[in-house]
Amino acid sequence: MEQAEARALEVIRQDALDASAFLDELAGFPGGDKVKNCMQCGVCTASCPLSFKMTETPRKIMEMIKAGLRDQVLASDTMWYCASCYACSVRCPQGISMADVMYALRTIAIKTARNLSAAFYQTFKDSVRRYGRMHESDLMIRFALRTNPLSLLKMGPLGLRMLMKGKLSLVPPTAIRGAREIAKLYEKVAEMEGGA
Amino acid sequence: MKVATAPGTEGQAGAATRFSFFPGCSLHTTAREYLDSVVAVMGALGVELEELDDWNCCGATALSSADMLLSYALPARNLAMVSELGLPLAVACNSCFVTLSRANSVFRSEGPWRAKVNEVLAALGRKVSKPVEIRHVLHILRDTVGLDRIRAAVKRPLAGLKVAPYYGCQLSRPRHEFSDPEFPTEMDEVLAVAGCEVVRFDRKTKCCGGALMTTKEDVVLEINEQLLREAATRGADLIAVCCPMCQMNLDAYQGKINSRFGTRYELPVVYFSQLLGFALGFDEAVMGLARGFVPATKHLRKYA
Repeated sequence: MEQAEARALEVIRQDALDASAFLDELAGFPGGDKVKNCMQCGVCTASCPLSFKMTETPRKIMEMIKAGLRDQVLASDTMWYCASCYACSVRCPQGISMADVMYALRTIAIKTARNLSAAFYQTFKDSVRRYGRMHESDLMIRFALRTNPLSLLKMGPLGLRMLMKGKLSLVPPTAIRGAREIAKLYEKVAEMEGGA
Repeated sequence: MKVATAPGTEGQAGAATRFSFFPGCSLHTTAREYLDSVVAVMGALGVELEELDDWNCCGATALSSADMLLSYALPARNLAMVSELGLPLAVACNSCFVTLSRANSVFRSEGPWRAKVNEVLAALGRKVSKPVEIRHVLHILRDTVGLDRIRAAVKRPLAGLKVAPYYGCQLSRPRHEFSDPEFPTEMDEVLAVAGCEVVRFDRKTKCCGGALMTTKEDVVLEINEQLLREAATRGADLIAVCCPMCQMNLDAYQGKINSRFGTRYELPVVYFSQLLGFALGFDEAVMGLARGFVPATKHLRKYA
């Protein structure tokens, strides 16, 4: 009996530790320190133009964070649906910028996530490192090659019309003069994040 | 940067106002007509835009989804260059506006993120010592140039042209010291002095989904259909925008939306600056009014 009680207490303590550990982790990100103030009013979910597609609504994700359900939160599709429209952020009565919380969750999840969204943001990051700027055609081609090369065929008709409208160019992108500085910036960031 | 002058407006606008200008990646590729029309309109109204030399991509919301420190440090390189010039910064793209403003915000007070970003900049021999003043071109038009000066420069009032003003999200959110976060009016005001009939548009700041068109296409087509539906219901001839993402989603995907939802929208989606430039007397071709997938030309013929 004593053993069972000890185990139960251990679980309770561990849950509490998990909850505070995840809150502490998020507090290290801009805007993440306010998550603990969430009072579950649901204004974020009501304001979100995409919450109807999410498996867990923004309000629910906030409660899951506070409960320390780190793995479940990071596996959720919620943050990948956020379009950064900031409707929740300007309405939250507790002053929590949910959009910033979503950024924090994505930057944590992207290290292990294997989905289309993660691949897109990673491709964008690599493409800007290469040229210092974003070039739509280069970005879309690299994204397709990374995820589903056959999708290039599907993109074809729209791409062709954009070419004809002069909205895309077949001329290979050139890097900005400061491209080496950009590479250095990426390296410095990686060094600081690696050391953190 | 060479500034075009609208016919007959030379020397009319009074003393020039100078801004450093961050066009952003889209304005150099898919949104060329936004760049051309903004530069022309600003020049005609006496605002000198000096393109920031060798600027880099702001990173948009893609980088704030991929790498937190990078998403502050990358745009901060631009801010460092602007602060060296000592000019306020003009931005036309909503996404650049929000991203540069977000990076700028870390320089408002001492804190760990300011220190981190400055540590990255120091490795490049750069520094931001105080926040840069960042303005969207719509706010420069309304607040710096002023509606009276715009009205006085209008050569072709677009009377009877019904325009749905669509702002998207990132002009008025999360920064909203210049206008209401949900019902901004600056574009309405600028278009009204150009003579347009600005129709009521309740979804003016409802999201178009932005870059999610690439990763979550089905749902993004759905929310764009709702935007087109309201504009059509309000009797708009066309939709005016101030962001390249909104323009792309509503215009280039309109055909796909029509086939997906069985609708027959044929709504041109143009930048407010194209309409304003046309009203100021610039040629329709110079303003790129036929560059959209749904060309705006037929609605403008009667004013030419």
